Amino acid sequence: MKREHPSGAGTKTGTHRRMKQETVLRTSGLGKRFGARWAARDINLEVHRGDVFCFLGPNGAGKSTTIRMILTLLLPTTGSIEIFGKDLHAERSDVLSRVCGIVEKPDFYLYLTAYKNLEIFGSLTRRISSDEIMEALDIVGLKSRAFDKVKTFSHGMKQRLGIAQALLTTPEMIILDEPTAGLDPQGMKEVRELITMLSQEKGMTVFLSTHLLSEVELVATRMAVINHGEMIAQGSVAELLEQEQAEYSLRVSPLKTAVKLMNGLSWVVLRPDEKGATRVRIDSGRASELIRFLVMHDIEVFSFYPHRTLEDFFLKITEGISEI
Amino acid sequence: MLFLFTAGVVHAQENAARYLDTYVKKYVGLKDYSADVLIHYDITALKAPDRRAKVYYKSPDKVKFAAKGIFFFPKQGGYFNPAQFNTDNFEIKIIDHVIWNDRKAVRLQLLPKDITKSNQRFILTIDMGWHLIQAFETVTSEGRKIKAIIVYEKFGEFDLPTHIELQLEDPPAESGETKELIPFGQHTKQISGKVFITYANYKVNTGLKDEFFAEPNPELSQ
Amino acid sequence: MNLFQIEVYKTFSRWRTYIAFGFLALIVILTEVVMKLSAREILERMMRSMQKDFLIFGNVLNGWFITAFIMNSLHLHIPFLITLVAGDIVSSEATSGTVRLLLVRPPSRSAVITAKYLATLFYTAAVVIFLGIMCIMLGLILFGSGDLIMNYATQFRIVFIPETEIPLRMFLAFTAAIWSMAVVASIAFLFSTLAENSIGPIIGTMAVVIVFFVIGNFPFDFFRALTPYLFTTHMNIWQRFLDTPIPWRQIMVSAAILALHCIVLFAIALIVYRRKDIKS
Repeated sequence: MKREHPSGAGTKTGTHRRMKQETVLRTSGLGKRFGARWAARDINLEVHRGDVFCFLGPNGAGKSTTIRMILTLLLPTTGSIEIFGKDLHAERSDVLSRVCGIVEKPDFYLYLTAYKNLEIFGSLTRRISSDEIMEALDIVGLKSRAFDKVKTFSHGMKQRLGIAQALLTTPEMIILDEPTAGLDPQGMKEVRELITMLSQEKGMTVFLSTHLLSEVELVATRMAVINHGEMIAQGSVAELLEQEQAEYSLRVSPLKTAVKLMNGLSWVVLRPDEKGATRVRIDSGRASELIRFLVMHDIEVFSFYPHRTLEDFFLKITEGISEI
Repeated sequence: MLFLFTAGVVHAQENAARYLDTYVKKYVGLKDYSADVLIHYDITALKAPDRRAKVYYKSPDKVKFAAKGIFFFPKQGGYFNPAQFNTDNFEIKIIDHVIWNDRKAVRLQLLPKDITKSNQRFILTIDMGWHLIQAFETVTSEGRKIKAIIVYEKFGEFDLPTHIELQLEDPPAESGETKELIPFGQHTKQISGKVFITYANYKVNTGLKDEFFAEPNPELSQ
Repeated sequence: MNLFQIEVYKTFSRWRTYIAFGFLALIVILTEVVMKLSAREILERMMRSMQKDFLIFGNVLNGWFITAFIMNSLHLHIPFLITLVAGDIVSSEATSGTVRLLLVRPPSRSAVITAKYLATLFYTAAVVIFLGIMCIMLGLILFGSGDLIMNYATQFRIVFIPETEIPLRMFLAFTAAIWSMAVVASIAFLFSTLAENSIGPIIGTMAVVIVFFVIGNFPFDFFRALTPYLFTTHMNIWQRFLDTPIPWRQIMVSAAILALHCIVLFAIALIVYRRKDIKS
């Protein structure tokens, strides 16, 4: 039972990519059972070239299990995986030479330097020159730490080193499992920027898992949703996150005047907020109309953003499924 | 009767001492010698290739070996030392007369007079015509039996050994002794087997100095 | 760098690798210095039985003898040093999480595990060669050269090896020692592929080696009947190259049995690892 949006690519993908619709990753009936428990079941993913594809689900939903199967760390109990049109298990070496994956956090050899780690992991794919290693380290801002041992690195630096490792092998697809997990806001921002850069500047297809809905909205073009080991939706971010009514957080001044003005609007439902802000529930299409209305009445609008929780989203998706 | 018996015993002992004395006196002129030695071991417990050495002897009891590398040489009966059987040191008895290599020989038993120095007993087979020790047996203080057969050749005025065959025999196991069920194999066996020693290139009475024997054993150049 | 070079580089980049080398250096230096100081006592003890019947000339307590003596004393302990690396080489990747980066690269698991096994054997060889070089070099410096007298006390046998034959015999003996230590390394390696931490494989291997040694040395008929089938029985294969004549048939049998152990243990490790789910 899942909702499929066949339109595929989202708004952030170029037109030519939408036209091509080349599937770089396809799983069919993929499942993994540990003992009597199915950690993932009947996963049918379809990732197109150029996608920033988010695999969304709460902790324990089966995201990591699926990614581990895609990266050959786990042997599937059922189903098959095709990458670049080739069967993963039949042509593993060829396929994985075009893919880079980081599962959970990138753990490097702590007793070796960043440079040596990159040299080792890079040379597992192809011959790597010293210049290429230094360039990759430069891109992720670790050039000055190239010859420091990784045991001296922070978690964020290790994440960036992981991405440097991905850059080094110039893969066509990069697979990241919760790349921002455990990072501080600054670290999360840096990693997201790197992901965007990999997609937009390097032209890589990015497949990443996350339990953060906001992350999906910030970086993804397409997404799939998994819960309790089963995939419940797949499609473009624009379509899946589109809702008839949405809740927005609003920071305005003066607040009292704004609240009074909005109370006069029949299409706005106000929700209390104790932090000097307010929340409104409106039709998704009328967000810009509300902002315009407030500005025209001399209300200063500092921020206006959709406020959604993963739970809300799942509820919505589930409702959608039951309606279908 | 007692007198006669005693006189008979003394006479026999005098005869026995005479055989040995003749042998010792035969080599009074042998002050020193040196010779090349080739030793071959046929001993289960000692796996060694043939070894070469040079032996230096000076009467009455100085001996020295020069060998290349490590050299094992039998303690008993391996080298020729006629002064070893000085009649003053032993009680000597005739055991019997025998034929040895188609020649008449006498077998003597030698018991040390001073057992505080040694309680080692010898049985010598002496050729009665040539006055040479053709064979001897000895039993060491630990009950170890060693037999030797000696072949001589003439070098100048002296008959000197060219081959000595030594047989080392294990003492018989005591009743009740077990050699198998000793944990972790710390057996207390002894060596048994044969050693063949060949002597050649004798140089006799070259005037070896006492100081030479005080120096450490030299390495033998090959 | 190819996979094997990578594994060797990683192995020799970790300080724990050098525990074995440090320990061996310390033991060899201590032993040789103590032996130098107590040379007379050692000689008397060693040659007690021979000295009853033979005069012994020459440098018995020489560098070659010291080497054989230390090898004889240490060949039961080296296995424990081998396990420090062999038991850790696969499992440490799981412990540190690097396995998740390593096994998502193009080289197959078979290639990875084979490279690791070869690196383990390389380390094993390095430890034994290091021991040999330490013993021989220091031994020859402190005690000089000479013929080798091997005193097989338990069999009451003394074997005399001329100096000219010793270098070749020692080379063969140390090669055989590497061969036998490879079995211990293979056991630890197999355990390492099964485990997610390093302590288990190290302790497990030690337990196996100790139990086999104990069984092989019990003076009871039941255990004696088992002795030919225990790999520990064949681990003293190196000593046979210091025997006269060299018992080639026994050596071949022992070498074949040890090789069979290595092959079977590695094959199991390979099969297990190819199908193993990486959950760490």
